[in-house]
Amino acid sequence: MATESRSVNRAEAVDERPTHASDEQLVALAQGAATVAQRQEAASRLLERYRDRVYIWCLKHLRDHESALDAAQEVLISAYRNLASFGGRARFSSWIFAIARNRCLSELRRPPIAIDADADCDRIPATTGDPEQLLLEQQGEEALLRLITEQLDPIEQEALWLRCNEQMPVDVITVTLGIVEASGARAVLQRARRKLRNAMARQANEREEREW
Amino acid sequence: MVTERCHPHETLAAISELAPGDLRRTHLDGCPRCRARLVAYRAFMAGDLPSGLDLDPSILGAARSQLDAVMTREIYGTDLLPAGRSGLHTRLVNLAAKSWRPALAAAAVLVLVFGLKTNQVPLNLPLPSPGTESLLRGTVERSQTDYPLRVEPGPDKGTWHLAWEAPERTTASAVVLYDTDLAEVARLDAGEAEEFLLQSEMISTPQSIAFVRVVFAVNGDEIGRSQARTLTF
Repeated sequence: MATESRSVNRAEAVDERPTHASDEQLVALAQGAATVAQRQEAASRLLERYRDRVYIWCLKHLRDHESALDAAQEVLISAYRNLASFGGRARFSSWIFAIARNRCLSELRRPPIAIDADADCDRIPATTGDPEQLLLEQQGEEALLRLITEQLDPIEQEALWLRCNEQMPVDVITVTLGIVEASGARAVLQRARRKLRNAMARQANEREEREW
Repeated sequence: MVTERCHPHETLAAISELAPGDLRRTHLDGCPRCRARLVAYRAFMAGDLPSGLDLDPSILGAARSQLDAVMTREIYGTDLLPAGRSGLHTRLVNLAAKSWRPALAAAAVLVLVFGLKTNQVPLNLPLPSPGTESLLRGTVERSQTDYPLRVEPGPDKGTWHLAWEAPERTTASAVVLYDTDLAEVARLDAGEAEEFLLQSEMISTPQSIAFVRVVFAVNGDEIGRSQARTLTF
């Protein structure tokens, strides 16, 4: 109740013309403006700002106009339907990005999951609710993170993580990271894979020697 | 150093702007998982298409129209605040929306057709305010290509060397800097040159910079722009 009245007050304080309002002001208006029409107008303006970004993000990942359109539609509708509960602890842009990212990842991670030839990302997301299994997987991820941090240079780290964890296509990684090598992110990923493989082999040898 | 406690990705953009000594910032700088998520967020905000992905502008126009139609139906058919407003008022709003759906669908078709023919405004980053009037009137032809922009560390700390190839008719270029929300932070005149040494002293709030782009103009009218690149000080 207190939250709602605060939202109303914030909404009343902002510019009446939502076109010039910040995201935060539009969120406040969408949540607490005096009339339905004002709330609808604010929500419409806010989501329109992110329409292109959401569609392009989905297109980048899903590589198909129809799939991207479906996904973008779901993201925008989901954002609108959950806007009333958006607490404003993070930026609205971060929040809608999280929705778009999760939507694309769930689409890409639909089984069967193919092992990517571009990188060593054979870590399949948890499909089990078994706490012990989840803990083991988490520990494995922490170990992998440590290995990546120790063995790879920053651009290799980011490229590998974007590929494996964010499921970002190789050409998008090339552009996103501004990689100027002729083969783009593909070469960086292959180099990272080679380094990791060697490091893992070294670790395995050391373990064996210790055990003997 | 990587720890088990990575930041929620909603907070990464804000954390990246903290002072270098801050513990959360230190974690972000050392953690590939958090850094990759931040890179992904910034890529989302930049909204650029990879150059290899061929997208006909008419497809983008169609996508916009379809998404607008869906959102119009969604937003104007419902109210965000069901509590206390779920009675007659909401029913009337929904009824009104239903009765208008055929008209909305017809409008969406018109928007789609119109959008396919006239979609000339490129994506995302806002058009510059000066000199855009004739562009919007259609008297100046705007390039649909995002020209390549090279961004490399400059000779000194806090400097970046930018290089590009401007379109043929360009009479002046400007380096435009944006924050993480793509709000324009600074616009620096590059004249007729095709390179620029960007120094942090040129900007009042260099720590807020997240993206850079070059815009090209003929006699004050923008005719094209470069790719957007991430850039931080």
